[in-house]
Amino acid sequence: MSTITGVGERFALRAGEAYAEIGTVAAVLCAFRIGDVDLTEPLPVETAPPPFCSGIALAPWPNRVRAGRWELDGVPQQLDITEPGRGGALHGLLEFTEYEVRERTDAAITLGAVIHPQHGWPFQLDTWIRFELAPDGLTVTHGARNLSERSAPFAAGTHPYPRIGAHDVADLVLTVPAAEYLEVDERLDPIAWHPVEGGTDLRGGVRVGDLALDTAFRALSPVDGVTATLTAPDGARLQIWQDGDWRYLQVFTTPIFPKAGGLGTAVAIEPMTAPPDALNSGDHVIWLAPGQAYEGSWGFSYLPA
Amino acid sequence: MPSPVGDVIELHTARSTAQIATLAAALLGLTVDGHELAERTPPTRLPSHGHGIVLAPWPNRVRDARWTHDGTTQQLDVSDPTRGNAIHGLLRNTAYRVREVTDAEVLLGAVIHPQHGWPFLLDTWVRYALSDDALTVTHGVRNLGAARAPWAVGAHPYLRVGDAPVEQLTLEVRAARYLELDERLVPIAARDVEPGGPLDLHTPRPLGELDLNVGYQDVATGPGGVAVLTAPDGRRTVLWQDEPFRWLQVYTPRDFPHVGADGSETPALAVAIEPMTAAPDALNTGEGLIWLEPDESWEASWGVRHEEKA
Repeated sequence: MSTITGVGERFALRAGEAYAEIGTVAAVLCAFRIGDVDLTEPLPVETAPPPFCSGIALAPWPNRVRAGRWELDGVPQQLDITEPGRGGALHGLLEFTEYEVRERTDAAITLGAVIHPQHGWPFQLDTWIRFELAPDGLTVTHGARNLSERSAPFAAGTHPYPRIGAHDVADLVLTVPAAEYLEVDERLDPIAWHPVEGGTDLRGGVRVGDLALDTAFRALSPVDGVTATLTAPDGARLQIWQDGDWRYLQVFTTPIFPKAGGLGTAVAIEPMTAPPDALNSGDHVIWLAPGQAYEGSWGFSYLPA
Repeated sequence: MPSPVGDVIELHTARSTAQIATLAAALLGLTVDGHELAERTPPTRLPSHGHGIVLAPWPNRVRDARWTHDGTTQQLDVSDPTRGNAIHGLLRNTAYRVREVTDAEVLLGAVIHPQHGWPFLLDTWVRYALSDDALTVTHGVRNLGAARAPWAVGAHPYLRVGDAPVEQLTLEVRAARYLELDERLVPIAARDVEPGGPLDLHTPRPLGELDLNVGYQDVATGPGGVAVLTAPDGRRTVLWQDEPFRWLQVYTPRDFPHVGADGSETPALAVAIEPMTAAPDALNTGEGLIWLEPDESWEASWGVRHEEKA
């Protein structure tokens, strides 16, 4: 019991100079570094949830469901309201669930969690997440199998805050090859997709310190799967790649992320299989027939200066 | 297909059986000599009307899903959106882990991690111990966090006496006070039970005449029992509670899906008799709330037994 923290038990992965640490609650990525270069914001060991949802897995939907309500075959479904300030249901059903360890090696771990039928969610899914560390990167695979007797929707996302070592995140340049962004209302619920322009056009690279985003992107044109690149002033690059059916990316910036030296700028770069409010729009929801499974991956690749 | 209630643990003695699910550590069924002491939940679906689930770290409602801790507002998830409250704790959708199991006993555990409106880390457990004519349920908790933490617990069993229709049972409840509720079912005052009044169940009354969703306070504790269901033939189901369980919610829905001997389900009157260590909305009122220092643990029990005659 002594190893239990606010994010459950924490497991270390090692591959060459690479190191990652995974917590069992929300299958959270607590740390990822290569050598002494932190590539995500490290999560302190304490009895508190991750700040700003840092590192957590989002399933069976990422982002928001408007008012926590959606319809299944004409029948209204009311989810618990997990973001009462905005009235929505945020980031799925596993944010505070302890996953079980299903497989473990020095460099990899598979965590699993069954989602049971509950308010607004009349389905049973087995879900899992596999982290595979390599000397130059990390691959994260999200899976689900429908254990219900009816078709079930599924979408996945993730919520890492990447960085590059000691560089101020504000000084990193973020490049995202996305042609469209999602306009949202004051509750952050979707209004409409538009071509990127001005502060949402990240195709040429923008300094993170100059961004103020909580924005979903689509119409990605990745090269070799790379959907986001952070570039440090010294030329070091951290790439985020996504499988072809992970068609969306949320970018969130904050100047008040808690770090070892106090509050600072951080950026969440969130690969997603579906856009915000997908249970209502239906956009790219993965419908799983009884017994059917899905797997898809995203990951980090690091290219030192 | 796997069960929506997780794994099902079958307990038995020479005369009795109980079925426990890992999801919400729910009591699915309980029999003595073939007589059902509780309504039955088939493992093919979720418990209806919250039947048998464990309510922790608080039972019943938290008004507006908000409370204040050390001067800081805590916003819980709104798990009762219709009335805008948080209801029945944080483990309703959690599959407990089996920590120990024998023929007649199972110990289930679940850690409550810090989350929205709940900045605490608790290890919690539930032990179901079956004997030939009774079931004892022990709830436990240990504070794994660095700060003191609040705790309350309840259970939500729908009890019966064999195959006697619930309408024909009488209900006795030994309680001195009750809680007056507002329209959102949150307490606004504790009042004395008026002798002979509509909420006075010291003298057993036929359940068919009752329409209750009431929280009783200052209830009888100890082995003598707090509530007794009696069938027309004199057989009884007795609920008893340890001293910390000073509250009892009684709820009489008329649309509970009763499972008949042939497995068919029929909407029927049922009675939830819910042991609780704290009043509804205790996170706001403090009524009955237990505070645990770091590493402090706590345990208390309630139980159900079968009696052939008064």
